[in-house]
Amino acid sequence: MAILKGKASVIREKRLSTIGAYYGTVEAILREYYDGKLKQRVRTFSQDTNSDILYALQVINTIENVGIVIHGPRGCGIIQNHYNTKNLVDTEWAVTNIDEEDSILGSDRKLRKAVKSIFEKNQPKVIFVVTTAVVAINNDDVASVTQDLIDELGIPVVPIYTDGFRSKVGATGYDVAIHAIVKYLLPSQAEKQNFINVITINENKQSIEEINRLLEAVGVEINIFPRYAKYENLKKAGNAEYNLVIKKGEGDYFAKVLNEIYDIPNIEVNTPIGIKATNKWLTEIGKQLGKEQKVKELIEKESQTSKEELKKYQLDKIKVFLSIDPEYVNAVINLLEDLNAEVVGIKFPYLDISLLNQLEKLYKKNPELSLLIGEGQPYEQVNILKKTGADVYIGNDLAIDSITAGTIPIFNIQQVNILGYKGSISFAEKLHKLIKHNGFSQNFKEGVKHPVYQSGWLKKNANWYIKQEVK
Amino acid sequence: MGNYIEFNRNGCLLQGALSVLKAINGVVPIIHSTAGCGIQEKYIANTSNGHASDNCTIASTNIIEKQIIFGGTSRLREQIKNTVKVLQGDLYVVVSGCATEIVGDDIGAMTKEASEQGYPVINISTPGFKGHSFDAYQKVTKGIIEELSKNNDSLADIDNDLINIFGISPNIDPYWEGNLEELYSLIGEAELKVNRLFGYGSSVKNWEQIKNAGLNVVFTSWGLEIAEYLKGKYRTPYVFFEEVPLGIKGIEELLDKLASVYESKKENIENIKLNKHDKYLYYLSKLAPHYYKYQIQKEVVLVGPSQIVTSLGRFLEDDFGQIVQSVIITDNVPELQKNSIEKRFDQSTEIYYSEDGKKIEEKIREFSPEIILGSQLEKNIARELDIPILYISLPTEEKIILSKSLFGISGILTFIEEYSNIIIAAS
Repeated sequence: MAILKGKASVIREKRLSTIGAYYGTVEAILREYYDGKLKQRVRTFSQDTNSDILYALQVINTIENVGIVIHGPRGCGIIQNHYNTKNLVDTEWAVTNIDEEDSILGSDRKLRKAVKSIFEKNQPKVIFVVTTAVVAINNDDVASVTQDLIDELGIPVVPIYTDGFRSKVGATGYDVAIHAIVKYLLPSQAEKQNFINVITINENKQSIEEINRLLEAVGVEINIFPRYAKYENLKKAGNAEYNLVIKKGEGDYFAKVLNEIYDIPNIEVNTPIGIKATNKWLTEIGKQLGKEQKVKELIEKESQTSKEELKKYQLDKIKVFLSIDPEYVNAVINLLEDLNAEVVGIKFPYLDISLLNQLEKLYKKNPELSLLIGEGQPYEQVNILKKTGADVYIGNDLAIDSITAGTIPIFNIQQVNILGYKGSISFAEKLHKLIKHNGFSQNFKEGVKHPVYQSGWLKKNANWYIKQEVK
Repeated sequence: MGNYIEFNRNGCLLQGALSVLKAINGVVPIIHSTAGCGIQEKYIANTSNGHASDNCTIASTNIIEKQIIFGGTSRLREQIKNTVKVLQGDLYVVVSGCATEIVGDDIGAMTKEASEQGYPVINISTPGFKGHSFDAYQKVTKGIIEELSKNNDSLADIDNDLINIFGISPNIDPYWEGNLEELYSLIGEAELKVNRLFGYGSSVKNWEQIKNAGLNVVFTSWGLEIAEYLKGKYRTPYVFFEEVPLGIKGIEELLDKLASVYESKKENIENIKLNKHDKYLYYLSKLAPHYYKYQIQKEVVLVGPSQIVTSLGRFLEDDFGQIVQSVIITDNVPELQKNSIEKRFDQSTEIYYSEDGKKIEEKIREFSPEIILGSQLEKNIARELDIPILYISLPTEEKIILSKSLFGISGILTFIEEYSNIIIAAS
């Protein structure tokens, strides 16, 4: 279990050559990766964005019967209220509420008290302790507190060593949480059983339902986690025959660790967005698991009707700016092209070597396509939108709410399922409605009286504040 | 030593500061902290804030490991220099988070450097471990006034009819903007002028002319400290209300106090009072048959910060015939003030202080009320008890609140309309 040796995973910049700041063509960044001359860039102006803590929370906060203790000052982790609302769950959470005195004298007693009392009160099956910047900087002892509590309470008390600053890429938080889950909750050995792991980290409920529906329809036994899972689902993850990762950039570390410890190979598949892509996705899975016949039947049943359905939502040639995860980009572009839309600019939250196959596909399509990489950062997006002349903004961008009072309609897909046959159709239908009935966005045509951005900035190249990092 | 908090609803000092700063047009906050501090505030402060849009717009240094180890001041210098070029504003306010305060970045030196270059940049120290979101209103408001007065402290052109309002805290009270709008229009009717400091119509210029006002109208302890400060500094008189005056009695109280200061407007103000009273009774009488028919008289528990629940609780009990079983106060009320709050209710109402979502649920269960006025965090207990809930305190993420108010005739009528409807729907 060498991979789990460290108290937290290696940061993504080191593990996967992840970058979180870039603006330029698809070709140029692909060359940097392939020529081994990748530059780490930083922003000399930045807007607030997610930290690793917020991503780590999303890994654990829909697991049933857990308690989350955020170990930090009172404002840390208050977003968990929002996550509970968004995820439609009531996950128990608390903050240790570190104050000035604790930050000087140490906070281990406070942590111990909080975990114990939450255990006694709520009887969770697992308690996660999520650490924050103050704890990390002060080097407060969390490990011995959690170890003591494991012995004392008889349940797993899992420290997740997030800190908000170690990595420039917030998504590192996914790995930190996954690392802790496998290290503390899974047995060291496991016997093979006849099911596959479906690893889903940040998908919404409808997306998971569609994946579940399709896999069940072809007779695949599945174990879905950590999203909306039970503790038992996690515990048996080592027994699976294969891993199927829904979104690589999020769940790949889980698959990697499981493979290393329990020798569970991945099913390598495309992304099931669009009818053809969903057919292909199912076919690949069928092939791997010997379910070809059932897959064929399902495709026959759903593929043609879905295609007919999609035809209803054809658009008049429109230009799209697309902000989406790299794993999804080509599939969504293909779907948009089927609907008669053209993508004029794209944005990823981050990019890394595990996602270069997606970048290659993009390159083959259009090497000159402009690509922005970064989390949030609406100032750059607004700048680019002005110049590309997009008719609609589509995405699940962290900063999507910052772009809404503009002249073009926004298709916010954060809470929309776009996976599978059902997802593809609902994507097309909602987009069609938004474009055809754009009365709301027309209100903002004349612009607002109090501009947010300096006009000087909007004239500059959007990569103005993205500079090579000085070591 | 503060206890741990389950289902915490109140942010830290930095987050409270952002709640206040983002409500002032022309003010651009710059966070000097690790990523994520400001993002989290978005979800406790209801909907995003007008043109400044969303918290992802807020400038933030998002400091990383090497800046923790070697110090983050040069990163801050760079961020300030570039923020003024990207985000349009008349005043840039650097607010600090825990990490940069612990490592001891000299933030003041950076803002001083920028202001010496002619940029309007100030800083307010707001580390999260040092305070509560409820401490932010006074700290930020006073901080800005102090900093602005450094450039220009001359007392020119006092306009007696100009009024500042303090004590209604943006984004910490879900109805802040609607309440302010109602106040503005009421004061306008009295032929007086309001210096808009927060929300629609606010500007840094208005903040610069705070000292020129003839009167400060201040509510709750939030406003009192600022009024005292301005009285000491500029000799501006003030009228003080322990709570935001709700209902017709509240409006009358406010108008009476204005009349006592502005003798010459007395006649007009008396007329307004009569008209308001008449109008209120007209609409209230439309409600009367329903009130009796549906027995709109319920046992109620209120949950929220003292600035909201004490005045609303009193309105419900005194003016709307409700039975207020308990007022659960979720802000950090100083011991001294607790006494004064308790005096405002008779003994049949229990005043309980907690910001712990779990303990609040237990308390509500104990009372088993017929309706809850609280936040989204009381939704589960409402469901469990199978009773209706109205949102009056944050977080209220599931509900959009634009310009709705509790204050004023239309504000309170809309509120009792909603209150009655939710009871009828549940019966």
